[in-house]
Amino acid sequence: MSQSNQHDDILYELLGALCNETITEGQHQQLEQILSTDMDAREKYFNYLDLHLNLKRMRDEIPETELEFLPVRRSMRASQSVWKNSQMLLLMGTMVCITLVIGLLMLTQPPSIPPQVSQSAPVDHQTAVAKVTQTASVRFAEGAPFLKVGSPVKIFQEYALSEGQIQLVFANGAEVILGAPVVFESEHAMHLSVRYGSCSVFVPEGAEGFTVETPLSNVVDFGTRFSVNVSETGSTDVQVIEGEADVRPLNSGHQSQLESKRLTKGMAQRLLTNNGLIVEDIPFDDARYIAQLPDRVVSYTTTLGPEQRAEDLVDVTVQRGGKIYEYAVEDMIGIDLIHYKGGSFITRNDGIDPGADGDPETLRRHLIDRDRSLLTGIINPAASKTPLTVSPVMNEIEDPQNPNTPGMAIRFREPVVNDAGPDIVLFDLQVIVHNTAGDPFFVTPLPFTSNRKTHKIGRFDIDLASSEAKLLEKFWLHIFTQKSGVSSLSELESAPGNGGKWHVVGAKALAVGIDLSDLGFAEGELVEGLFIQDVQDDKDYVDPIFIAGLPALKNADN
Amino acid sequence: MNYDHKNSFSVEGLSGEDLQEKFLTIFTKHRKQIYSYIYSLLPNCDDAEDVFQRTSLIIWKKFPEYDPSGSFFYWSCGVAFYEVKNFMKVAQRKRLHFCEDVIEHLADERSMYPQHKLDQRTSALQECLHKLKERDRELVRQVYRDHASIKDLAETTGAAIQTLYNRLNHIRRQLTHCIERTLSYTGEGK
Repeated sequence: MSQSNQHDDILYELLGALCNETITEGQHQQLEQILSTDMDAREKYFNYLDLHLNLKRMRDEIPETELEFLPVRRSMRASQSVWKNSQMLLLMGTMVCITLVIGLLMLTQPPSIPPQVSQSAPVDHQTAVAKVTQTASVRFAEGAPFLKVGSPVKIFQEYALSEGQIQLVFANGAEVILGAPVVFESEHAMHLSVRYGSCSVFVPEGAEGFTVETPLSNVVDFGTRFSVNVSETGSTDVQVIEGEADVRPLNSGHQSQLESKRLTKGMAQRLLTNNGLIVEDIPFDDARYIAQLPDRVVSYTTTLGPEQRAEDLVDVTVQRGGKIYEYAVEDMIGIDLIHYKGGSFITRNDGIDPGADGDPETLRRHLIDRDRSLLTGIINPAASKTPLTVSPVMNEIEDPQNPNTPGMAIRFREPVVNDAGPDIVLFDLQVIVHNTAGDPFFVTPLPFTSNRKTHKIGRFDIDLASSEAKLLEKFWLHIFTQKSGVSSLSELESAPGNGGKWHVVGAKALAVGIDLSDLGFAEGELVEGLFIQDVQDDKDYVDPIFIAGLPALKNADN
Repeated sequence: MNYDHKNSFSVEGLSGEDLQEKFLTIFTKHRKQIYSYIYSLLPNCDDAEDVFQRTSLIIWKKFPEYDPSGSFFYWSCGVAFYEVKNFMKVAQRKRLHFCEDVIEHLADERSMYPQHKLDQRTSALQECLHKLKERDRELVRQVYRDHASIKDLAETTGAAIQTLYNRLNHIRRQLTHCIERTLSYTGEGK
């Protein structure tokens, strides 16, 4: 269990006691101590208390029928009518009380008493100006501070990403997506300095005046969407996608100050230095603006085992077509393993090999196709240096004259529709000292036809470096006694194993989304199964521990 | 810096009735936010309610001095902050309170929290409640809607009091996690 998880557990226990009004003096002191030093804990404290208050308010504001907790879309409509009925009565009641008090005060005490509190800031601003709301495949530059979803962005702190994208939301609502390589820093909640790299900014109503500073300019927003790209030399491109923004050249000291220019939708400008600061119009390119992070597997949740590490998959959160969907395991499309040529399998910490437990009902293939455990799987499918370009050979018993194709194949229990974004999720067990990005693999659609193609997955959406990757409980690795592994599904079930061995080195569960469009499918087309081969690029193999299809989006939206 | 929309009116020269109307409009809009601010400094409903009442009246009294080009919520936080401090002086050791340093930290950060984020959390909560298991939803209903005491529930169901508290803590943590994910990844506004 990580230290941060332990801290969270302690914090949430204290917050629970606080809201239950059972907190002891000792617990209160402990909570106070945590809150005094930990900004992240303070954020969690606020959110937890908000939740508690919101639940209380639901009691006050929502009639019993609404507390049946209908699906959100339905309840949103319903809550509007609630507002028009009982809620309105409640609000009117509150307002009547306030009005009466005010009326009384107006008669007896005109509002002219000197203020106890000035209009100026009542308290100093603290150091966090924005929060990280999303990340995708991020890596931080050597020595740079680490940020993850929920991290505060502190003022006068330089951050540097070497890979990936990160989304920040400022306190005033301004949303920024920064793309690596990027170096940035903020001085206050209306300011972002981009020293190098790209950023896309959306400034909602009320946050006008938000400024992106680059080495050569200040881009001041007037309620808009714009992108800023800064090269290593400081050259700055500004593209206004919507609304208006002022580009204010900074005085370089080499020449007289240039005037600022207001850019409107469809305008673009470049600032660069060449014996002084030069400003020139450039062709507008709206592709420079990144409206959202890429579709991907965003996170997953699991049950926790005895060591408080991940055990069984509970649900997966996936961004598809720019929207977030959460799928419970039971709502995903299951698989059957229909082919395997490879080297090993893994079981839970009990070490029981289903192929040698004397029960004919338990099969080794069920380690991947009948459970939601992330500690079990049919792993190490054999590798290939090149992608498949023909249908694989998948005989139940290998024919030496026509050897089976190295790898493994699965069939979905119902066809999977090619919809927006990822259509299939694959979880991989990755030992913590192995390739951070995960082991690359080829994926080929089944049945394979000339208009389909094999696609190489080169990195996982949730990789070893991701804060979303979870450490797994202990598991046992079973290797077939025959050195060459097994060549067919039949052998998978019958070949003798080594009895298994507890895997000492820890591992995490990585996850990746597979988009059928990458395999040559048009939107709405169906796939029946997949063939998976490790990419023969090193001695490590992909280790599938869970594979499932995602329901079509029209079903999710319904 | 503003954390909510600037207001398009001026309080100068308004008649008493107009002033009252303006006040009610803007106060209604921010009252939950102000209450949440106070509750985060004094996490006890009775204390928070007490301070909220006092704060509301003082905000009204000071309203003619409020500059509408600034954030009403932020200005109100200034009033509420001193009311919380005054309350703590009077309440002294009657209840457990955070020390002044922690209160100031909390006040600093809480005053930056924008209204629309609170609204988003409320919406997300609806969605997340639906995702709870039925028996967990039932417990939330009993505790929050029916205002059932944990002691009574324990007697009725035969469960240990601590078990029910633990379950409630677990549910709130689940909801918190669900709300975070819902909000963090919806890409609202894009």
